[in-house]
Amino acid sequence: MNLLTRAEELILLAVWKLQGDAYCVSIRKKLTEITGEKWSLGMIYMPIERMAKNGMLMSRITDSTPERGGRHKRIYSLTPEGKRALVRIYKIQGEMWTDVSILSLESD
Amino acid sequence: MNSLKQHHRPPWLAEFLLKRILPDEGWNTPLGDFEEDYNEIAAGNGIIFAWFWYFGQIFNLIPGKIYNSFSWSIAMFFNYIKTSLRNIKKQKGYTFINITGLAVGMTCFILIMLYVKYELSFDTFHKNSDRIYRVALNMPTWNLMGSTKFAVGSGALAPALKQEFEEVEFATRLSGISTTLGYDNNNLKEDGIYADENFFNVFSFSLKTGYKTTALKEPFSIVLSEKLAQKLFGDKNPIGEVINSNNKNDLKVTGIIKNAPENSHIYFDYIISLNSIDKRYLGKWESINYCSYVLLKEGVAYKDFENKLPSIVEKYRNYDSEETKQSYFLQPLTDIHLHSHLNAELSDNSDIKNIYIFSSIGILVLLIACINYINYATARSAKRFKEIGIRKTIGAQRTQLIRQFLGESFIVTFLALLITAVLVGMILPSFKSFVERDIELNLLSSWSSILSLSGIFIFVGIVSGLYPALLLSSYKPVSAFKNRLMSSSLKNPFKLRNLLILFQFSITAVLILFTLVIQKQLHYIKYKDTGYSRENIVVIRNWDKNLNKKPQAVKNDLLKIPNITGVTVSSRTPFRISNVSSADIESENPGKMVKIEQISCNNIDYDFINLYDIKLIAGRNFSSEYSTDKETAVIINERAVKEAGLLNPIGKKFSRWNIKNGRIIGVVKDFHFMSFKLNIAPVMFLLRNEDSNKYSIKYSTANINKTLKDINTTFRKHSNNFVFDYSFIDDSFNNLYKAEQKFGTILVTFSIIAIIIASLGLIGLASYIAELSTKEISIRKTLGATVSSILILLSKDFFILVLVSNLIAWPVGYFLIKNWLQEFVYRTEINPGIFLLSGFLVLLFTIVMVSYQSIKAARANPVDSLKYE
Repeated sequence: MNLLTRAEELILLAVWKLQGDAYCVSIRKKLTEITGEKWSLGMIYMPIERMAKNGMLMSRITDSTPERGGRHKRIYSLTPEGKRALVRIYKIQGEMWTDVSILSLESD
Repeated sequence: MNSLKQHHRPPWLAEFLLKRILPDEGWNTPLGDFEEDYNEIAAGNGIIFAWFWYFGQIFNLIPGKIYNSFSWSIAMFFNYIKTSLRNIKKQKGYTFINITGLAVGMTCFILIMLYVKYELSFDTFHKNSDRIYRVALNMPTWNLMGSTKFAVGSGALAPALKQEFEEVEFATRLSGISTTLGYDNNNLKEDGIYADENFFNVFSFSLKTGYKTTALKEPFSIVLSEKLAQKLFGDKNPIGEVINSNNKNDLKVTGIIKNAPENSHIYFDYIISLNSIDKRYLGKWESINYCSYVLLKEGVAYKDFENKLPSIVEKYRNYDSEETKQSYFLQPLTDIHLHSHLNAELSDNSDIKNIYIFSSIGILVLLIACINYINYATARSAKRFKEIGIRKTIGAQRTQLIRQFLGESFIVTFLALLITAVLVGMILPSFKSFVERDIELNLLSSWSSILSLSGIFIFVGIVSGLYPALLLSSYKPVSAFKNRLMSSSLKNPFKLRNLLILFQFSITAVLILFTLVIQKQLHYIKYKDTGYSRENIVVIRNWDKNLNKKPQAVKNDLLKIPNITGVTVSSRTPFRISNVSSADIESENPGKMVKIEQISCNNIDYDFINLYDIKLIAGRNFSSEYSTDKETAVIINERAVKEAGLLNPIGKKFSRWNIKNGRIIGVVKDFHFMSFKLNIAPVMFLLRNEDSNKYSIKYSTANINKTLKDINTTFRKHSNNFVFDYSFIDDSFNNLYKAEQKFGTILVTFSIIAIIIASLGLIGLASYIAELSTKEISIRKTLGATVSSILILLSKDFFILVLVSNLIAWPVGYFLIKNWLQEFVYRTEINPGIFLLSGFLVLLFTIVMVSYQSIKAARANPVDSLKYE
């Protein structure tokens, strides 16, 4: 199986939405804000590294900033492959959700 | 500005730890992420909460970290195993030699270490073993068997020590005894001790039944070992029963002692209360029969205490003159078994020297096996150039290569260790009975043995693997691909491999040399004329005192047995005459007496000298024709004549405490009545039957079992309580040198093992070198070289090594041999022949081992190896 997991999907979407300011801390904030769940840094590192290795993300290093103790930031962005993977999962989900009424799901 | 002011740095320790845990991709961005979060949490929930959060992250990350590093090293580990196993498979022959060598070496080492450990454990099981000392005696005027020191002292010593010195917590005394114990017509002769009621206060022997405080208090009490109680009483409860000892005393059983560990210098099957001995002997300072032990109070320095001991001598033995003055010294309990060789020891002690020798042999044999591995691995390195080159080009670090090659040696060692475990388990039972030690082996049951096993594993793995690993990993890939082979010749004398071979062969040569000399000395002992006959004589020791009063009747009955050709009754057998005392002999100046300080005395009958075939060189034997012989006749040996300075000994007056108006009627040729380690001393014979409890019986060889049975029946006819206690004279004689024989056998065994391991190495190396030089040989042969010239070319270097190692071994061996032989006054000579023989043997081995491979290589058809070029 070669589909994105839900965490991967969410992270990729967060990276896309943050556009040029996507690094681990900001991704975490975004995800926490939208999902209302607690995301730890470790929960982000693991999939983000895996996806970087698989070629769905690329990264660059920015200049160091004082609020990070003089350390650099790693900013992530989507590669064409990452975009393709998102498009694919979107299509599959759309297919799956067709003809499913949210109302009938929530009624029970 | 404001944001900068609020900036917090995380605690440095946590940051430091976090940095170790987080993956480092070169920029430390994750650390930055954490710091940013830290600040945010600090701003939101306060600094303390942030602080906890930060530390929490560390614990959060650790499991992942561990998993990660494991998965990587496991991956590499499997890779190493894979390549090692591949190599092992490719080189089956070499691997077999390596593993066998290492397994045999480790087996030897483990067995020796088990033995050494057991020997070192003697007497350590006592709870206070570090505070128990034996008080031994030095009597400068009494030289017995070459020593003036005695393990025994007066029975009055221990109570006096307890009374005089507050340092002494408890003091006890004991003495060895061998007597018959009878219960319900069941008579057994057993070894035991007399001990006083403090025995259990000093030593930690534990009682199964009975009370430690009272068991040895009453006179004529006896405490039995579980084993002996079982033998005498079966399943019956022995407490309170009465045992008859030696037909004389009735002893009441007051306790059963748990079977004591065998690693104790005090070994017994029963303890009789010391009070059973007559007080007149016990309290006498002159009678020395009792070993005294003290338990010092905690914190007492024993040297300080020892310095106070002369005051005891001053107080209780103030009648001694300056010359006869005795002194006492302390021996730590745990040192007795290996360091004490005094007169009248309770049991045969070992020697620390043997422990050293055995340990060194164990280590040397192990090293020889390791050297085999080193030599192969380095010799074969040429074959692995390409692998090393590729690994390095791909990016392997040197440390990784070292790890890989070390891993290989560890795998080989591990396989060898498995075989070792099987071998040790197989050999141990016979090894145990050979060294006569109750060695227990639970390889995996105790932490200490698991630790030492892993210690051996790591030691062998590192010693054999480290040098090859360092060497192989140092090759430059460029030269590896250029395929410039490492020189395979042995010519460079300083190459480590040659030094190692030299070392191996020097050790082997020394061992062979040592073995030869020991065998020669044992042969000398066996065949040297002792001056008396040892063949076909059985000695019956009789313990029934009543029987000793009528020896003639027993003698006559014994002579009626068809196979018996002679019987004599004496107090001692010819190879162990003691009873030393001084004597006065009339000198060549008429009327003047000379004193011989020590002369041993043996009470014999008319037949003794003839039966033992002792040569009379002057005068006559005891004879029933002279009625005065019983009162006055003395026969002495040459040595006594010499010591008294007599020219014409016959008819000279002789007096000793047990004979007042003696006359010398005969002189016998010197015979070895003591060990070959001691000079022949003066000895005398009297025609008496006091203490004559030894019946020497000469028999003709046919059907010895029937003869023994007949002897037993004859004795039983005269005594109801007879216990058949017999020994053959030549066995007892051999027993004198049992330690040497054992030592000899052990050395022979280990020498052979060392030679086998070393030659295994040689075979491997020789075949490898022949393999490497196949092309060279083929080209030489096509150019016209003969088989013999190639043979010389291939084996020459080995022979040079063997010769040099012999030159090293000779002086070392000479030193060892001389040292060992020094213990014997009567000994074989060290002649050059034995050195040449040992050299020849080592050379012979080398020829046999090397020549097969070399001949095979030299005779091969050159076409076979050249046709592919």
